Amino acid sequence: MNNFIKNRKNKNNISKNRNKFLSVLLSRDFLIGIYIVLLSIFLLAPIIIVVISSFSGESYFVFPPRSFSLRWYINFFNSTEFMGAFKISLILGFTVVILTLFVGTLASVALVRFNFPGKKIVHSFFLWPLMLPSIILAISLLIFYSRIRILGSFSGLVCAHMLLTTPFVLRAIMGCLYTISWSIDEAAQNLGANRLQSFFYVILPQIKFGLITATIFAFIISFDEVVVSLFTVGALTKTLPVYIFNYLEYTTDPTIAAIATIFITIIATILIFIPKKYLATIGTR
Amino acid sequence: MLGSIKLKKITKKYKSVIAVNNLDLEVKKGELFCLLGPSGCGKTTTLRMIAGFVYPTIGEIYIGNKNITTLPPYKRDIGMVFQDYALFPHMTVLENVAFGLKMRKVSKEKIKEKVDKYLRIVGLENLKNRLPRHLSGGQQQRVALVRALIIEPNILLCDEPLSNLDALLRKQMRLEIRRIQKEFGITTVFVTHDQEEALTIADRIGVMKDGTMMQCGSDEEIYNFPKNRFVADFIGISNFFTGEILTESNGNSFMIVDKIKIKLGVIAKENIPKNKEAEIIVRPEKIGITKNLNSPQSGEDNLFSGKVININRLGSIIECKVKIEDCQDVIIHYQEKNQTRSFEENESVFIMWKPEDCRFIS
Amino acid sequence: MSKINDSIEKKVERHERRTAFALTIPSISHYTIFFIIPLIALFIYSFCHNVPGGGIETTISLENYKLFLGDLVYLGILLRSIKLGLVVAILAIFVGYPFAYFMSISSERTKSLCYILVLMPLFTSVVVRTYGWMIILGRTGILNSFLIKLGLIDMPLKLMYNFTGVAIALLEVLLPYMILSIHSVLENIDQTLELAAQNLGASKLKSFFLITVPLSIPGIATGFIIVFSLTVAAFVTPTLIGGPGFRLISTLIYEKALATLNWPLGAAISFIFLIVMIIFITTINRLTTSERWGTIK
Repeated sequence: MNNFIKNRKNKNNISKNRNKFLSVLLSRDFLIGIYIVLLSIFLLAPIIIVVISSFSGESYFVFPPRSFSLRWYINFFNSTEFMGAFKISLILGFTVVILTLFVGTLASVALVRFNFPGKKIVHSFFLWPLMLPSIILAISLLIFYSRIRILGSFSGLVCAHMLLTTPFVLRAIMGCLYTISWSIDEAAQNLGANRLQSFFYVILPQIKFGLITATIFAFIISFDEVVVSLFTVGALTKTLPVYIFNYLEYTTDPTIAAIATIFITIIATILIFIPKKYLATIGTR
Repeated sequence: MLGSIKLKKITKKYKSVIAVNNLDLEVKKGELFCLLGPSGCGKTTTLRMIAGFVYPTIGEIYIGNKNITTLPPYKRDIGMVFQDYALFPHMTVLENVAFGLKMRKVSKEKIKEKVDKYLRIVGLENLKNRLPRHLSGGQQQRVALVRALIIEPNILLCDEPLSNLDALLRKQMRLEIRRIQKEFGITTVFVTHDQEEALTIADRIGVMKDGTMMQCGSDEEIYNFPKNRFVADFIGISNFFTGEILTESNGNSFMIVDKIKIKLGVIAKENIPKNKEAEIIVRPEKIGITKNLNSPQSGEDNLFSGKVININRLGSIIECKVKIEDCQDVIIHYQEKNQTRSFEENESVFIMWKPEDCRFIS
Repeated sequence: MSKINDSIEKKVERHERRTAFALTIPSISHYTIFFIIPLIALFIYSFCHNVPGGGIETTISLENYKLFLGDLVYLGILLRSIKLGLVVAILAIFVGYPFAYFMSISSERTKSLCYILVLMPLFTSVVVRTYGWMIILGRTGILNSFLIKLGLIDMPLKLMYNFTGVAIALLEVLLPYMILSIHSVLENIDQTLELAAQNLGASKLKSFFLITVPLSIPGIATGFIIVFSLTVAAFVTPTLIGGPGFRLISTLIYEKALATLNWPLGAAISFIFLIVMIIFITTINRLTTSERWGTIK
């Protein structure tokens, strides 16, 4: 900043052309800088606002907040409904992760290591749920679940979430499997391990990286999920995002801000404390 | 007999490509047998069929008297060294080497004892807690070798294990492998595309091309008595002569090439093919070269005049290309003993070789 | 002798296929039961007759489709959804491209910071982010208070419960996808190409527009498709920011499914929606697929 001011002061000592050139150059970088800052604010604005509001002492919206208070957090922890929803989201998340990892690892090994007719179709098949608008997925599950009478059940939720987490788990684990040199599988077999033993002793340790990435993604996707959950939850299985959504439709109680902040903190913790290499695999969908 | 390998009429077809074509092979117990050939000749496929990673379309494989054709790889009791070593990246040297024993449910104490013993053989006992990525290429190679040997298999298979090492290390390691092989007396099949390697370490060599065994024999046999043009060309350098065979009434046989007559020796005479047109080779080190004919010449020798085309130094050997008058080029190898005996381009020279050094190839 | 081996090779092949099958059975059956079958059920329902108060009659007819396609209000909603999709997607290209470009030319450290900046919103639930926008865009919201304080406007802008508010919020929510999409393509473009163009006489600006931009079209196209699809299908943000008066296809389906419980109509709307989306996406794909830009399917 000081440089900009200094150069402006020296305007009189520099020739007209050079001055023009300099100011254009400087202003270009300056503009770029401003743009980046503005865009960053734009991207993070809602999150920051929510976090700040959660500490506001007022019961309505004033920004900047006039007082500081933790009462919305206390409200949240005291509310059995909210805590219930929070618990369900956590348990659901873990269940979805474990099941998707199991089912996904099996499928990944099949898709990478084996050759069978229709392999490419099967591979793209697993991506289809992502290509469909989630609302259509949601309504179809609503109809199906009510027909087979599992609407509102926990297992119904798990199976629904798994549709959305499987593609990412597949991508993470397959990505890892592709980098393995399969001669180590042959070497293990040559030394006396059958295919299953070779998988557990030799291959599985190689995909640790993929498994961790898959866990992170699967958990976050399940924890965040709203639309499909909205259609398939029951009174006893309301997840946290659904609870927040329903709540927001009618009130703007700042307690929501507290919950949301806790939400954001969990996500931020995962993002910041997990090494960046796990996140590098996000690429494009 | 246990420890010998027999391949009977082995063929491997992939859709329309024939990778190995009707191969018959016998490897004797304790022998170091090299499968040699250019890439794509089927040598690796053959090795992998012995190992069990590929199953033959037709044919059978025996180890000793046991037919192992249908056995999965983990039941064949064979040790294998892979081209990329295939060391388990997440396991230490110790764990890698112990893996085979662990699969055979050997006791922990015994494993420790054996691993120490074997690592000492290759001089790696100080590295047993290292991970493979912290080892040099040569060290990884030795770990791979020991990992295969420690299970005391009947057969050792090596899939071009030295091709990822630099030239100097390759020369050292191949002698090391041969030393260990002889010490353990283990039947070994060694795949390589490097003929120098094969000639150096093998007891017997099998030269393959396009899935077929072109010739099988000791290094002497293969070098001095190549059976066909491919082997003659692949192993070492050959001078090829094609022409008609002429047998005179006094029993002498000649080959007419362009305008010259090459006298054929006893060994060649015994192998004269039926066709009128034939091909012979003469190895470059069998041809002598001189500027003048001061020294007495045996009247028996093949002697021709020619001109030097070019001359190069290949390390300790000089390579000289000479155009024979009224005929083709030949390549000559000699070791320079006398400083004054060097030749220049376009110089007129005389070249000669003994009739016995002509070899027919079919 | 050869018969034994014929079957060994085939046996092994069959065994391979059977193992692969066994490994994929759990996921495939899961998908079939919970994805394919529900969609089939939805399809069937779209032809059924709705019994008010719950339940359906399985009398196959096109009445639901006709109902939707014949109603101008409904068609207007469909049009509005598409318009929203196009507006947000196009805005996202212009707002997001410079950021993606900045990321591609910055140092490793700056790049990782940018990654976190872009990923952070993606990993937060859309409900939370939309809530933030509710606070910002309201009549007494932050943006209005800020602008009034600065004296730029006298009356608060109406940014909630209308197209503009929803568009702004959706733009923020979906911008990361556009940025990541363009960025991944930019990363693969050789930076020396621009330098070569400059060496041949083009100005920095020209070389950017003539070399880098065309080569990044696949990324722009992918980003456009993603943002468009997600905007048109968006539910949470339009519901909360648009309110009950601002109806889109997604909120319409929600209404039919959970409010009026007219599942057959909801199903029919879903499929009409799906077909329209497929048409749009295929068209965009066709338009942006060319050997020149390296996107050959």
